[in-house]
Amino acid sequence: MAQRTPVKEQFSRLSPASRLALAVFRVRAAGKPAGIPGSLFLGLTSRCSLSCLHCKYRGGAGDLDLPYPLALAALREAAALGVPKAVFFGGEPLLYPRLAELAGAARDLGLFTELDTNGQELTFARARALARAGLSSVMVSLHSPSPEEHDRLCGRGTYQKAARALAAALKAGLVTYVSSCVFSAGPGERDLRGLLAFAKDSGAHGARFLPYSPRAGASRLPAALAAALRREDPAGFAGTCLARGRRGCAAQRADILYLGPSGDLRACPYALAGLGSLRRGTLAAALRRCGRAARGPVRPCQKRA
Amino acid sequence: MAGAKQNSGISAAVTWRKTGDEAVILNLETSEYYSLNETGTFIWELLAAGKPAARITEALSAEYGVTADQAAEDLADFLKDLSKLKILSRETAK
Ligand code: SF4
Repeated sequence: MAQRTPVKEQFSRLSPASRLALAVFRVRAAGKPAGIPGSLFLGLTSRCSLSCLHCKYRGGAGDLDLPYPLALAALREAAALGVPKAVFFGGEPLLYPRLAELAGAARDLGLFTELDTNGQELTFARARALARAGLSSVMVSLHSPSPEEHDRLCGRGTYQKAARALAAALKAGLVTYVSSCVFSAGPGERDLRGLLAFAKDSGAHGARFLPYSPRAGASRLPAALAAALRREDPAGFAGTCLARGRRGCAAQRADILYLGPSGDLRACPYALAGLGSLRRGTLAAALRRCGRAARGPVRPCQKRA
Repeated sequence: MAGAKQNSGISAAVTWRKTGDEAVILNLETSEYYSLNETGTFIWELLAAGKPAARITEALSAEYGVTADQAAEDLADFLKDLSKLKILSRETAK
């Protein structure tokens, strides 16, 4: 009647609640039905406290918040479909007024809850309050091990606050990741090594490296970054859009589904083409469209339709 | 649903949550976790609510249409497994 699995040693520093959430996540992810994504990304707001030079939403994202009832409906449907994880995304999700309440609702639905943040407003008190409310994991954006380079991209003093947010999330017992945009077309291995070393030294449990692709047109960066990571990080501390031994990026594999603040659905937060609106449809209908639309050689972040 | 284990014999190092039909149990001392099938989850919830073995046997027999003897045997096997895994810190009350 019982199946048994040991939790990886690296997670032993987590709070009991985060460790239990991780165990539930692993069980649910292992039993996930075919065709169901591993994560639902909720773009809670288009508002942001920063205006990073490289951000695709910079300047044109408007001032929208995802209506709370729509967010809740999406979480309920995702949980019923067997999606194991909800990612709170933005804009800057810490600016969403009912974030803690939503994290609690997602946790109660059995979803693993993750916050994808620039970290500027994440103090230890806030991290602890969110953890108590139902948050299990935090991903903090830090784009360079060099404070000067990070601040050049994101604004003066932002590196220090992001580093403080990482420490706060770890102290609050949350599963903590560093998230970095990688820019160069052939990722300089020196930069990649620097980012990896920085993420490991920070005490984070892992890292996510996002290939920064131009707005449209094919780019080799996602594949080049994945190849460089295989060389530089054989143990798999960091992940990227292309997973080892799997074909296509996460969006092409329909492993993620994104719900934006206006109710729009996409194969990925950066996908250029839409999959309809949750105001007039369901996640299940978008997933059917997603399966058809995401196939093909050009990744959804580079393809308009 | 998470966490209750009043007067149940469940180890203090154990925490758990029900998700859908299955319960996930985590032993915080060993960092091992276990997922229970539907029957295991049915028993576990009664155990965590502090029900004695006789009540659990009765409920198991009624829920799954098995004889009381069969239910008692299944329960004893399950409890033995849980004890071996150090999920139970002592035998539940007879
Ligand atoms: S479309 Fe694919 S490659 Fe592009 S950002 Fe999304 S997951 Fe990454």
